[in-house]
Amino acid sequence: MEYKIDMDSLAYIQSYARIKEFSKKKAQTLAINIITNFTDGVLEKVLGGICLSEGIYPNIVKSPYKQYHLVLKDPNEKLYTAKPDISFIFFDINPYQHGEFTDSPKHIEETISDVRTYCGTVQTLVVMNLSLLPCQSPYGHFFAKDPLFAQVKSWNNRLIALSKELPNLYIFDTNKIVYQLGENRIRNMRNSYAFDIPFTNDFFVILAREWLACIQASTGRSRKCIVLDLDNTLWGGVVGEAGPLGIALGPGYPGIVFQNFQRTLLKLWERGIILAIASKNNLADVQEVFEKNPHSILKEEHFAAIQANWDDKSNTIIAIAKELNIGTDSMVFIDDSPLERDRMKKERPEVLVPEFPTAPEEYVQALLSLNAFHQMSLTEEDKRKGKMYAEERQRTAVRKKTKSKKEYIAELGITLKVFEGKKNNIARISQLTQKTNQFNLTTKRYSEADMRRFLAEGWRIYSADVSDVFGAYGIVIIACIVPNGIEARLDTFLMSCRVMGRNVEYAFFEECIKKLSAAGFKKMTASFVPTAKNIPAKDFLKTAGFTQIKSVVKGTKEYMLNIASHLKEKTKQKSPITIVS
Amino acid sequence: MDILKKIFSSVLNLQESEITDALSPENTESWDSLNSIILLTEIENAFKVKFTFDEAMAIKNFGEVVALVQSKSAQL
Repeated sequence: MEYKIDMDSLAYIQSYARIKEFSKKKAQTLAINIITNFTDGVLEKVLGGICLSEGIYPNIVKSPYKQYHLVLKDPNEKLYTAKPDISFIFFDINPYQHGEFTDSPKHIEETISDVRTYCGTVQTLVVMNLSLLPCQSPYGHFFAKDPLFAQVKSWNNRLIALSKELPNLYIFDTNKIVYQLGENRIRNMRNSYAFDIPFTNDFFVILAREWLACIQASTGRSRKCIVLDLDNTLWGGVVGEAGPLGIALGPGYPGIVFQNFQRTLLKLWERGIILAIASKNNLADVQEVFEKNPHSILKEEHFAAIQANWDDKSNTIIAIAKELNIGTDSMVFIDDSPLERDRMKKERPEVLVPEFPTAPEEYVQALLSLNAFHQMSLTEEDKRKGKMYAEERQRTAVRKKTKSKKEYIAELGITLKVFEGKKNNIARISQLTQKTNQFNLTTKRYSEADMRRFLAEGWRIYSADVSDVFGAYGIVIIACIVPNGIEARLDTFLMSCRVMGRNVEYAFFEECIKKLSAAGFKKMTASFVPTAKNIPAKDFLKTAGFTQIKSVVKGTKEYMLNIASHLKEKTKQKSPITIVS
Repeated sequence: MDILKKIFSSVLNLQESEITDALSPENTESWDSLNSIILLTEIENAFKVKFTFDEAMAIKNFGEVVALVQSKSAQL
């Protein structure tokens, strides 16, 4: 295979030896704990060097050799007092030697209990490495009959079960490295017997890179977006010369190579990685491929931004970052041209620019081996992210095309599905009160339990699921009203910034007023409590028809609204937003 | 020879000019037991050779490392 893994343990060890010369000022300091059952000095140096190469200044604390049971039980130990930002635990069960993990079941029980105590005490992220399964067995091919194999498997399963119980315990399957390098390249038996270092330096380099990926994911340094070249990257040949149907892309070789690369990108997109295009091409030629070539797995809708022009790509990538409102330091740039890559590296060093194989057959392996897109957890929202960005691009196109905000809103065809009372999604509503800072009148934070109590006390709670012709936004706006005789007090009114600037707040408010009027309320009071962030909500009450009144609390503004006369006036106006209940 | 000096200077954080035949764990603070192991494995990787535990433990100074590697490999 041409695509090789760079394995320079010496460079990392050297850079860690010179840590004193490293400028701490620009770097992020990170407290790292390493807990193992072997001599881990080499691993510490390799991990330290890798961190430095990524601009992270590591403060590494290790459990003293073979004393993990003692130190994990003592809260005064350095492992605890160092207040780790992240911890790595790895116990090796060497299948060629006898060891403590296989000698006594008590040892496993004690270790599980120690890990539980440790996670509960440090509270920060703990990366638990699964132990390596034996590759050879006295039982030959009957692995399942080998008690050692069963023991390691059951220990790993215990750890996986523990991770479901402890929210800060994250599992990394170390066996991945064996699949990648092969067992012959990971173990060093002389070093195991002589120094209790069971592994090769190659193993330590790959392990430390996986740990770095965990560090990056947990500190928000994972990459979010892949910026792609087109000709000879997403398909073979040059579309400007060969035309949309003449490029190499299809079920036969070599077109299938590019199709499979696109399939992998699609899978990344489906789990929330944003795709964008930076191509030196005519936009019309590019769009023609997506429209007319049936073999293109990726379609225009998968791309959050398409920049096809003749500008320098180091400028194009800035335009993409602005359009998507993300940093260039969260981007990966993929281009088959070494010239374009070198230029990007020089001009935008914060962009990850992987060396890409010259053979397109190896693109998929190269992409997947980047280790740049890790996340500590995956939510439903993550899975929708790629889609939401692409929908947003279509909305931006409409906004540019239309002449006024009114016309833009009409083109979007916004629909609000309004929920009230117990039909509300309580979890989502309380999450919105905790997360929303900008369009929020009072910035009151409520738990799910609070919300249930309010409902029981007779509060009127409304929320809306917002969608338009391009897609769904989900539940993004809520109103919580405290009843007081014929007076309704607007306790909370907020909206996610995702739907700002589309008059959704006015349409939703009018619907709430109609419902309150039908329930017999005559008057509404509300207040605006200014914070450093809620300027977007400052003028809402006035624009919605409220009159400012004298306020009792300093700093807050009080408002009043007569429901009946308000409704009389508002029924004359027609809103382009559709309401369904 | 250059490769050996590069390995020693990288692992022990020394200038290549500081690396003489007389360089030893006794006169070099950074040449501790862990770095001895790292030197051993890095030399083995670079020259595609293997040393036994006894061979590795018998080494007294840089001069002896050069001699041992020479006896195992033609690459020097």
